Amino acid sequence: MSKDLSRREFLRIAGVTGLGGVLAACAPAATEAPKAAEPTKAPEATKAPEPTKAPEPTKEPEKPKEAAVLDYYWVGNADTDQRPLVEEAINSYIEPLINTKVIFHIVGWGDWASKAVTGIQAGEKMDIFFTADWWHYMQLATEGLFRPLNDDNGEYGNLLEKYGSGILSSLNPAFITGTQIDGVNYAVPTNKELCVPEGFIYNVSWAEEIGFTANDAANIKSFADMEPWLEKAKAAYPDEYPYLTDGRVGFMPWVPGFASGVGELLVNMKFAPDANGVFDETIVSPIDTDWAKEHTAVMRRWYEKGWIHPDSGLDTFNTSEYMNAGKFFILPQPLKGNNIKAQELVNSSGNADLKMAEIYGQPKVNITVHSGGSMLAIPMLSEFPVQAMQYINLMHTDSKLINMMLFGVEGVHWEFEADGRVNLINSAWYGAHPGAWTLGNTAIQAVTNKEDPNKNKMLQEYANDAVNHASLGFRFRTEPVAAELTAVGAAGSGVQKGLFTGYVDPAVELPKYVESLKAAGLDAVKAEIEKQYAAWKAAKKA
Amino acid sequence: MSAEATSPSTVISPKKSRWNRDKIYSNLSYLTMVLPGAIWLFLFAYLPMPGIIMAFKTYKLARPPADYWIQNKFIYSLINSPWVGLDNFKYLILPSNLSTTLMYIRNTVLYNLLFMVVGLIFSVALAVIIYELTNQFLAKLYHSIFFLPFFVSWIVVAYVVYALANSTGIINSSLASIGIAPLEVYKEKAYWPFIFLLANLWKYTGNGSIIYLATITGVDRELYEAAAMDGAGKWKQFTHITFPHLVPVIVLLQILAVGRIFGSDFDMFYTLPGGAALVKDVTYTLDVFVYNMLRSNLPLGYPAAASFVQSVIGFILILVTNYIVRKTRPELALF
Amino acid sequence: MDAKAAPQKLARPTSHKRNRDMLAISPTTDVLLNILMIACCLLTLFPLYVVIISSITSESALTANGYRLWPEEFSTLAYTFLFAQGSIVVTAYKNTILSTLAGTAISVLMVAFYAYPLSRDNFKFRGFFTFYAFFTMLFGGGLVAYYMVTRQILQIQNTLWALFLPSAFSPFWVIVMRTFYKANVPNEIIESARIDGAGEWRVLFEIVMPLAIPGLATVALFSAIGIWNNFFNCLLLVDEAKYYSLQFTIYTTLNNIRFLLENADKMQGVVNVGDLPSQTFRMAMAVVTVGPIIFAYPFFQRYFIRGLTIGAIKG
Repeated sequence: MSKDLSRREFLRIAGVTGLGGVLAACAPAATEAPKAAEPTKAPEATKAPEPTKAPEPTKEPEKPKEAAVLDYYWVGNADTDQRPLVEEAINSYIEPLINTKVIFHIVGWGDWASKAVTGIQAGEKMDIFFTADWWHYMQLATEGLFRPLNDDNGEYGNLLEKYGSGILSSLNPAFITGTQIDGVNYAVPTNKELCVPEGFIYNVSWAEEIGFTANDAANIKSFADMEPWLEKAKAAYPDEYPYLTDGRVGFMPWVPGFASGVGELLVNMKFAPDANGVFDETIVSPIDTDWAKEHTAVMRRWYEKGWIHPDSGLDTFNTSEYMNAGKFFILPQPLKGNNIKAQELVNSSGNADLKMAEIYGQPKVNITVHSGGSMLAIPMLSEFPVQAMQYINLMHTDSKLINMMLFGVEGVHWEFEADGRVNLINSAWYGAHPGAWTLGNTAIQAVTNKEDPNKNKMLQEYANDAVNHASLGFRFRTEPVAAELTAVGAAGSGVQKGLFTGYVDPAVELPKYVESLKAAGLDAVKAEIEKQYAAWKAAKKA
Repeated sequence: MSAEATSPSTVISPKKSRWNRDKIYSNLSYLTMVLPGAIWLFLFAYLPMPGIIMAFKTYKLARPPADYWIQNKFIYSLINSPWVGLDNFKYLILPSNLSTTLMYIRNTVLYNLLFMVVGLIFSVALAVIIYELTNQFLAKLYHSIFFLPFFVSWIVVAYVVYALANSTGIINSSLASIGIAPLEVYKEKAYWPFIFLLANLWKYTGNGSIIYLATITGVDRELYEAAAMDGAGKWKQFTHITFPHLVPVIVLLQILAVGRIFGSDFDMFYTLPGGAALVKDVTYTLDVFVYNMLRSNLPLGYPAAASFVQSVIGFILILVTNYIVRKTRPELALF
Repeated sequence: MDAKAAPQKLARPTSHKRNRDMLAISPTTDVLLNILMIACCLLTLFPLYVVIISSITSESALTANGYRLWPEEFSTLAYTFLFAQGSIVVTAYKNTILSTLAGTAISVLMVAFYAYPLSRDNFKFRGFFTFYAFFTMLFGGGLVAYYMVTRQILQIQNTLWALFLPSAFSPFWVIVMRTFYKANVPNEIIESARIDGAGEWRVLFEIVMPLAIPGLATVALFSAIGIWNNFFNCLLLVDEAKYYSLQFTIYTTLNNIRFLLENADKMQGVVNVGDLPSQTFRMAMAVVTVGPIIFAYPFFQRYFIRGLTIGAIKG
């Protein structure tokens, strides 16, 4: 942009607007703006036809000359001083391949909303943007901030088909359809575990102590089956609290992350199909059912028996500290099959004596939130969508690139061992980003020497015999009930966690909570979800 | 009384007279003095200011066409996003929000008044004591200690509160060892106003007293000497000399505090209770409430609307307070 | 008695000598006040003691027994680990110290300059510039607009400037300083200097600022602390570890943990909170961040605590 002009012009707006009459002065400033600008409805996404042709001619010829620099926004812990080394290695590798360079911006989990989301809304230069169904996907896609990737009439054509063939050929089709919004892909899903049933992790050393075998674990089908064992565990370790929970349900009869932006226990449908494989698509408010009454009563009973830690209802209470120390018997967790999750948790605990195994609480069903559990979007205003897509395509096909992104520079940060696993020499880079599940195709990644060599294969194969849930691909748009959702959100904070950890008495607090949710407009939210679900269903049939 | 006596308005009368050359020159020098600050304010405060109109629009990001007069994407989008009137404000007055909002407004205002009054008394008292102590080495040491908590972030304070007050924490394990039933701090509303007050005093008294200390230090000692010679005791010296010198600063800080009466120290109110459900009624302030409302993915206009309302209310309150001050003590008014 | 007689006295230079005996509080009061202060200091230090002691407790003792006033097992592992990260901590220290020094100097001067004309009755635009500063205390353009201006128009991201320039001025301290000038710098002195032919800048530098040293020291101290404690500039404007400030480093670590714990239910279990730094490590970070700034305080302190009096400067 011409800085001089913009600055001078800006002075004018700011000068008028500056003092006092903010409101009054803004109206003329806005109407003054040439109406000619209107045709650029670009963010209306799918339809974005040709009107924004103008910037292209100047850009296209440049490409062959100079490498495009992609700004890659990635969630994680924080930046590290090892990043320039990794970038250098990656760039010298990919520049000959796709004439592109990359810069990583690793933004902390807690800072993402104020930094990355603010940035994309402010039109900062960004080319690849991490997102997920539980991580701003619907919000930013519906605000028109992500580019449609499979739009034949798009500015750059159907990016996925033209430049993402490696993505399409390697991904389970459930990923592609599962992450669409009204048939449009706004982001490329990472090829990782698709089926993530809820369940529990248990502590093997405690289990051995009380004679709880793997066979017993397989036979646990309900909280009632669990009780005698918790009883024994408490008797064996009277000073500890065997059931470690932050309110996660475990035996979850509802669809996790059913409607984005609305709590999964507020509006949902049944998770498991019936004996004939038919899904019950009735939309209910789980919190207002007998299930909620019974479940919270069980938790309360356990809490009062001393099976649940007395501080479990607080945000300050950190379950992982107790888990890492091996001071628990059973902990609800989402799982990935084949004891992989348990092993991951052991590896990250830093506790060499810890041994953990899994109890499954849900059948294998593919749902929306897991198909979009990790995705990469291309911001609408990125000037290099083609290169971005080429880069993402490489992430799905090129194991050399993906190992550099995951572990850093070979020989500096890591080295291969004889069996093909990775020995980390310097984990600064590996620890800065969230890890393998955010990176392209997990099947072509190497694993560390602490992991099962077949881990990645097992992760993807685990979903082979899973069924697709009837709601797979349904995504809720929050705008029509945005105001009600503010009230629902405020009513929910704190209370729900208290109820589902037994921290508060459900006989008193549950009816109060339900009442406050209804007063806040839960029914209106539910009605809107029903409406959108019916419309989505009808469109899918057509 | 004496504070204003030390700055008598000898200039007031010439002010009314015509412009003379001297005055023009001095105004030019004055203008060069305010210039750096004025530029800074312009760049960092007024340039972003048009963002306020986001509260009245549905902001949609778009790329400006090549021939548009400004190529900045944000400015273009801000100008061209559709106006939605007061739609973004509606959620603030939903009936279900309104009843709880009133409760949280009450909390916010009461906590602020409590902190204003108690904080003022403690800070002034500390400043005077530090000033009066004979051993100035000790005085400095004490003050340094009181100053320390200011550097500890609220998240860390929340860990400390948790370490002290959790069910197996320091307090409860000590109580247990002498056979007293544990305190359920996170479940009992009555504790929280005290915890917040203590935390607030702990963190801010030391640094709050500095400005008073600086003011007292600036008072001419001869005033005290003359007073002492007239037989005035310490208390009389305080009420007749120290306090009048403090009044302008006190009044000023209170006027500014009134403008923030609907705001709160968000991090304190949000982190210390650790989301404890049962004490919500006494721990939520308006800021925390709005934060919790806006957690789900909502339009950008919503937070903009909330902060606009807060700014306008603060602005009106300051103007009213300032008006009252100006009617009674014109020399103490903000403007 | 009050200050009616003060103006005449103020105008003439006074002696250094203070009559301590005459103004000193009685010994009994002195002892009582000292006891009170010591008690308050112990109370103040107690939470800090908890932070320090948890930072040197072994992690396993912490989970096994919870927090204790005297841990069963000590460990300096957290500090070893913290400093093993080496360059990050050192760089963050360097960035923070440099930006604090630069930001404080700029801030004190800009505030001192801006506030002085506002304290003068003969400044014609006094009302306008007071309001111009005051208005920004209440109204702001919001995060997105601020982000755009700082990163796209001013373009200070990923520089050291980003760490202090956005905090290098404060309307709040302008207004406080204006009041301070009015209350502590007698008009007669300024007027007589002007009659002697001094220009406004000279009056400001040679007469007003020396008289306002306690006030300016206050502004300096609070600017220094403000910049030292500020993490938000770094959060918004810095993407590269080599410009990270100390407070941001600790803030982002603590905030990530808080965020992940609070939102565990929405995260679909993808993030293992167990990966994040342990409790003792976080406490050690809190200790390290307070670091050198506490030594800055005694440096400023001599300006507030009886060291200098107006008389002493004038003499």
